[in-house]
Amino acid sequence: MNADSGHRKGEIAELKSQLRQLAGSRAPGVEEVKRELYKKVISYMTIGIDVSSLFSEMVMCSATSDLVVKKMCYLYVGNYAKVHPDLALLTINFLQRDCQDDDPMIRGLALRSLCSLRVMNFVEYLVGSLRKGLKDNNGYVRQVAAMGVLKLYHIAPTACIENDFVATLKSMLSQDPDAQVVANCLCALEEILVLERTNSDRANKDREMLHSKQIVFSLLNRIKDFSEWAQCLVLDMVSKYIPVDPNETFDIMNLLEDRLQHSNSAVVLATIKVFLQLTISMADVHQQVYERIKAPLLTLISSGSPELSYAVLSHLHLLVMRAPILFSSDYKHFYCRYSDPSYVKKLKIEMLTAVASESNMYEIVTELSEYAANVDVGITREAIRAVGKIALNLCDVNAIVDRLLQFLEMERDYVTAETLVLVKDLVRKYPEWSHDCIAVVGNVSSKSIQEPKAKAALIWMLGEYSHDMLDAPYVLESFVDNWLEEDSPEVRLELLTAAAKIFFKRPPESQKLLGAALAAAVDDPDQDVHDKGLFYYRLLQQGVQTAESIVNPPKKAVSDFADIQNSEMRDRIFDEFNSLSVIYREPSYMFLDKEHRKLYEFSDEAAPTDVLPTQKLDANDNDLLLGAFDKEESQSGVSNGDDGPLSAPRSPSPTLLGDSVPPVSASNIPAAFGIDDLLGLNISTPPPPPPSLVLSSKPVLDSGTFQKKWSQLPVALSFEHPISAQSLKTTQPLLRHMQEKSVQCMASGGQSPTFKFFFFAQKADGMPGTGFFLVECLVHTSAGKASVKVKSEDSTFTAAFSDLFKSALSSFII
Amino acid sequence: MPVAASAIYFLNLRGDVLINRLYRDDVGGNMVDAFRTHIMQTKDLGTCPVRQIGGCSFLYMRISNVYIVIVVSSNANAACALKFVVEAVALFKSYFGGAFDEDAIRNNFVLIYELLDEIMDFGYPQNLSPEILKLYITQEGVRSPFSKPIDTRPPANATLQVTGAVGWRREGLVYKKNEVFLDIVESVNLLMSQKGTILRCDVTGKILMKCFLSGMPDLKLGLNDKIGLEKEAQVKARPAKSGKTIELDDVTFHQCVNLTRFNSEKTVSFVPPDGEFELMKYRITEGINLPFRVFPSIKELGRTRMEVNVKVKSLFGSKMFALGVVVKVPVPKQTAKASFQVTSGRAKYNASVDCLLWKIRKFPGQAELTMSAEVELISTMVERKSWTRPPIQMEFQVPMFTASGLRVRFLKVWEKSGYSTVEWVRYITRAGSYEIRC
Repeated sequence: MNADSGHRKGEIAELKSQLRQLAGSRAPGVEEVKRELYKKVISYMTIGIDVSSLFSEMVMCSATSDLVVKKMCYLYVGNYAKVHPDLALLTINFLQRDCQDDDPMIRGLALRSLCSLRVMNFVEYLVGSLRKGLKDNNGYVRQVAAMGVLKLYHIAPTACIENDFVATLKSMLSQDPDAQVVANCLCALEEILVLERTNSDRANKDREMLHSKQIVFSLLNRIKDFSEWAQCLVLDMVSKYIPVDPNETFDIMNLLEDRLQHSNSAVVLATIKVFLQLTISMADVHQQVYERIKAPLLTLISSGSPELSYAVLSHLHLLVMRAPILFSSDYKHFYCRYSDPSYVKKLKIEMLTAVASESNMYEIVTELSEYAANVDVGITREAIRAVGKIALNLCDVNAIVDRLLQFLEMERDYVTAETLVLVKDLVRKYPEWSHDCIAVVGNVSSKSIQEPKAKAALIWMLGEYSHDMLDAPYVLESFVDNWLEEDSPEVRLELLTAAAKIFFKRPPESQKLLGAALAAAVDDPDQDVHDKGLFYYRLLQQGVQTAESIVNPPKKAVSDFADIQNSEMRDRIFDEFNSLSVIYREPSYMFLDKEHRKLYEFSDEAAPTDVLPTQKLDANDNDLLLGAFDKEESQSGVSNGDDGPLSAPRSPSPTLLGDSVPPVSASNIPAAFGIDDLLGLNISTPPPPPPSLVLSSKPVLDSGTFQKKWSQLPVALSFEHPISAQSLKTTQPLLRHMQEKSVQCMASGGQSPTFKFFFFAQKADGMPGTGFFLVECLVHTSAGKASVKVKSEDSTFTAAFSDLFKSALSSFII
Repeated sequence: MPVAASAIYFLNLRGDVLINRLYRDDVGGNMVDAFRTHIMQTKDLGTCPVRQIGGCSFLYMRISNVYIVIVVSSNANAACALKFVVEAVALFKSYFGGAFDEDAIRNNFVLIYELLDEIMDFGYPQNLSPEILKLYITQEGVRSPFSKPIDTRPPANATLQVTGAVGWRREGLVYKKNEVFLDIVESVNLLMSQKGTILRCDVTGKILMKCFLSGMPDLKLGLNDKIGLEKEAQVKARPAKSGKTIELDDVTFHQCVNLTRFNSEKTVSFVPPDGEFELMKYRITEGINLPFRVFPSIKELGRTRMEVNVKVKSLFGSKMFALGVVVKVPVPKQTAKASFQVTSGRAKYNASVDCLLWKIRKFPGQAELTMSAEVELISTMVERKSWTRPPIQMEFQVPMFTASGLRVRFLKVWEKSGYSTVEWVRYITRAGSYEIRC
C-alpha cells in the first residue's frame, strides 16, 4: 500500500512540474499536451485520488482558448473549491474574466462554474455576475443565470432576497422569449418561494401570483416551445392551479390533451397528474379522465425498460386501487410475463387482485394459480396470497376454495405454509366452508410446516375445529411435546389457546394435553406466554364454564378484515402523484421528515428504515389477521393490565397454586377431574430471586464440549437487540469487545452484512465445568440488529446473563 | 418539487465509481458507500429499482456492465428521473457510436463530464437532444485514433440553436441525394395457455425513420389505421375504401410530430430531425395475425424419461418466410441428454439454460415443422414434483409482415426548394415475449 501511494505521490509531483512548465508557454502544440495532462488529473479525481495539491498549477494553466480544457478546469475547481476556499479565491479572477468573454458559450460555462463553487465568501462576486448574466442577450447565458439564482439562494438566502432576484425572475418568467430560460426561472422560483414561505408573507403572495391564471395560461399557451423536461416542470406547476370555474378546467384539459400522446413517459405522467388534480371535485369528469388516461398508461407499462415501467406501474397501481372497477375489463394487461422482473410481477399480481370481480374472477384466479407454480418463491407466495385475498373480497368463493385446497396438495412447504394462513382467514369469514377446508387441512402433515405464521394458523384450526378432526388432540400433543424446540412465542401462545379450547370440547382426550401445555407455558421464558399460561390457570380455577365462556365463546364470522391503509393516507399519496410517495406508498412526510431522520448519516435510528416499504406492508398485512383474533379473545376481558398480583411474573405466589380449587360443577366435565390433578402442576416453591451474576474472566470450554452442551440444552431465551455495527467488516472487533466483558468466542464466521458468532461465558463462583452460558449471536450489520439465542446451564441466571449480554452489545461501537 | 437528481453515479459491477456528478449539496459524499453496502452487496440487488436508505432515495438501473444510480433526498419525480437516465444513456450511445459499457465510459470520461454538465443543472434536466448538443459539445467520442483534429469553438449560431424553436433540427442541411428510410418494427407478445387458448396477445410497434433530407422539409405519413381513414373519407366526402383497417389502441409520437394536427386531421405531419429517430410507437390488442402457432406435447414417462413433441405452424403468407426462428423448450435441471428428430433445422440440448433449443434459419410461410425429442433424466432423490414447467418461448423475425396488418399508404415530403426524394419502406415483425405454456 505504501509503495502504491508513494508511486501515486510521485506521479502527482510529476504532473505538478509538467503543469508548471506549461503555464506560461505559448509553444505550438502546447494545447494538446495540456489537454492530456488535464485529462489525467480529472481521471485521478474521478477514481478518488486527492489531487487538490495541484490547485494553483491548474488555475495557472487555465488561460486557454481550448474549450475542453476550460471545462475540465471548471470541473476541477468546482470539485475542490469547497474544501479549499482560500485556493478557490484564485479562480474568481479568471472566472469573472470569462464571464465577460465574447463567446456566449464561455460566458455561460464560467457563470455556471462560479455559481457552483458553493463558497460563502464569494457571494459578493457572484451577485454582480449573476445580475449581468440575467440581462445577457444570449439565451444560454440567461438560462444558466436563472439556475444560478437558485444556487445562490442555497448558499446565501438573504443575499438572494436582498438583491431582489426574485422580482427579476418573475418578470423574466412572463417576458423572456427563450423557453428554456423561462423553465429555469420557473423551477428557481418554485423552489425559492416554497423555502421562503415560512419567512415572509411576501413569498406567500409571490407564490400565489406564480400560480395565478395569467402565468399559468401564458405558460400553457406556449407549452410546445418547451423541451420535454421543461414541459414536466410546467405541468407540475399547472397541477397546483385551482381553476375558478369548470370551463377553465376544460380549457386546460383541451390544451393538454395531446400531451398524453407524447413519447416521454415523464410528460405523460405529469399531464395525467394535471387532469386528475383539476377534476378531483368533479366526480363524473374525474371518472372520464380515468377512462382517457388508461390507454396511454397501459402503453407505457408494456414498453421501455423494466425500471421505467415499474415507476409507471406504481402510479397505475395507485389509480387501480382507487377505482378498481374501472380497470376490471383490462385485467389481461396485468398478466405477468415470464421474463418480467419480480418487482414488476409483484405489482401486477396486486393489481390483478384489486380488479378481480364476479365477471373476471375465474380467469384471474386461474392465472394466479399458474404463478403459484412459479420458480420464484416470493412470487409464488404473492400469488397464493392474492388468491386468498380475492376469496375474502368476493362473495362467490366456490371455485376459489377448491383452488386454495389444491395448493395444499402441491406438497411444497412454502406453498402449504402460505395456504394454511389463508385457509384460516377463509374459514373465519365463511364458516360454512369450514367443513370442506378442515377435511383437507387435516391431511396436512404437521411436520412439514416450519413457518411460525403457518404453524400458528394450523394450531388455531386444530383448536377451533377439533370436533371435526379426529386426531386433533394427538397432533396438538406432539406440538406440546416439542414445546421447548418451538422458537416462536407466537406459535406457543397459539398452542396454549388451542390446548384450552380442545379441553372444553373433548376433555377426556385432552386433559393431559392442557396440563402439559400449562406447565410448559408457566415455565416459558417469554413474558406473554408465561402470563397467558397463568391467566388460563386462574381462569380455570374460577370454574370451567366461566373459562370456556371467555376462552372459547361462540364466534361470529368476520365480515371484513381491517384495511391496511386508511383512506386519508391514500388521499395524501394521491395528492403527491408523480413522486416517490407513490412508489413508497407513503406520504412524503413519512420518509422525508428531517426531525426524525438524519440526512447524511446512517445512524442506528436510520437503520430500521432499510426494510423495503412494501415488505413493511406485507408484515402488517400478516400481523393484521392474527392480531385480529388475538383481539377477539382479549375483548372478553383479557388484558395484561388485569393481572395485578402477577407483577412478579417469574415467581407465582405459592398460595394461589397451593389453594384448593373450588369443585368443578360443570355439566360436561366429570367432577372427578379435580383441577389440581387435571393440571398436574407441581410448582410448589417460587424460585429464589435471581442473585447477582459475576462472570468468570477466564472460562475454559473446548469446542467439543460446547457442541455437546449446545445440542443438549434448550434455548432459554432469544431476543433481538440493536447493535451499531454499520461498518463491521470482520468479526474481530466484536470478538475483542466481548472478551473485555468476559464473554469468550467459540467460533465466528460470515461476511458483511451478516456475521454469526458462538459465545460462551461461565459463572465466576461456579464449579469448574458448570454454570456455562452459551450464546448464538447473528449480527445483521445492515439492519443494525443482532439476533441472540441464549442457552444456559443454570436457568436462574439466564435473565441476569442476558441483561449483561445486552449491555455488552449496546456498548459496542466501532 | 420535481427535482430529478441530487447526484448521479456510474458504477461498475464491483461497485467502483467510474464517474460521478454531484448536482446538489443535499446528499453527502458517502452516498455511494451506502449504495454499495445496502444494495449492491445484499441480495436485495435487483429486487426493486427504487430504494430508500436513511433519508435518501436511490433510483438505479443496470445497463450492460454499468450501474447508473441517481440519489435524491427530496420527494423527487421518480418517473422523470428514470426516464432521464434512459435518455442520457441514449445520448451517450449516440456520442460513442453504439455500445455503452464500462470501457466506453472509461475511454470517454471527459466527454461524459461535459455532457453531464449540460444535460442537467442543479438537479433539473436541461437539454438532452443529441442533435443540438452535438453542435456545441464537439469533442467526439474516441472512436478511432485517427479522428481528425477538432475545431473546439462552437459554430457562431450554436447557442441560438440550443434554445431555438425547432429544437430537433438545425437549419442549412444539404444532401446530394434526398432519401427517407422508414421501418415499421412490430413485436408480438403472446401468452397462450396449455389448452391453446390465447390468454393475452398484443403488438407493440414502432416506426423508425432515417432522414437524409436537405433544408426544412415537411413530411406527412398516411397509415391504414381506422381513425385516419375515416377522417380522410369524411374530408374528401367519399366512402372509405374497403380493405383492412387497423384500430390503434394507443399512439405516442416523437416531439417533432404536430399533435394538434394529428388530433384535428388525424394525419401524422412533422418536420423530422436529421438522421435516425423513432417517429411513433403504437399498441394494438385487436385483430392480430399471429405469425406462429405452437402445439406442444410433453409427456413424462416415469422418473427418468420425457417425451417432447413440438409442432410449429407458420400462419403468414406462403411467399414470405421467417428468419432466425428459435424454439426454446424448457426441461428439468437433471436432464442428462436428449435425442432429436426434426423435420427442419437443428435441435440441441443446452444445459446452461436448461432448454432444448430448436433453431430454424429460414421458416417458410404456411408450413408445419415438428421436433420430437426424447429426454433422459438423471434419477435423483428429489421429488420430481418440484419441477414446474416454464413456458415454451419463441424468437423469430418475419420480414415484410406486420402482425397488426398496419401498412404505410403514403409518405409525402414537401420542401420549398421542391426536390424529389426517394422513400424506402420496410416491415418487420419480431417476437416480443412469445410464450406458450405447456
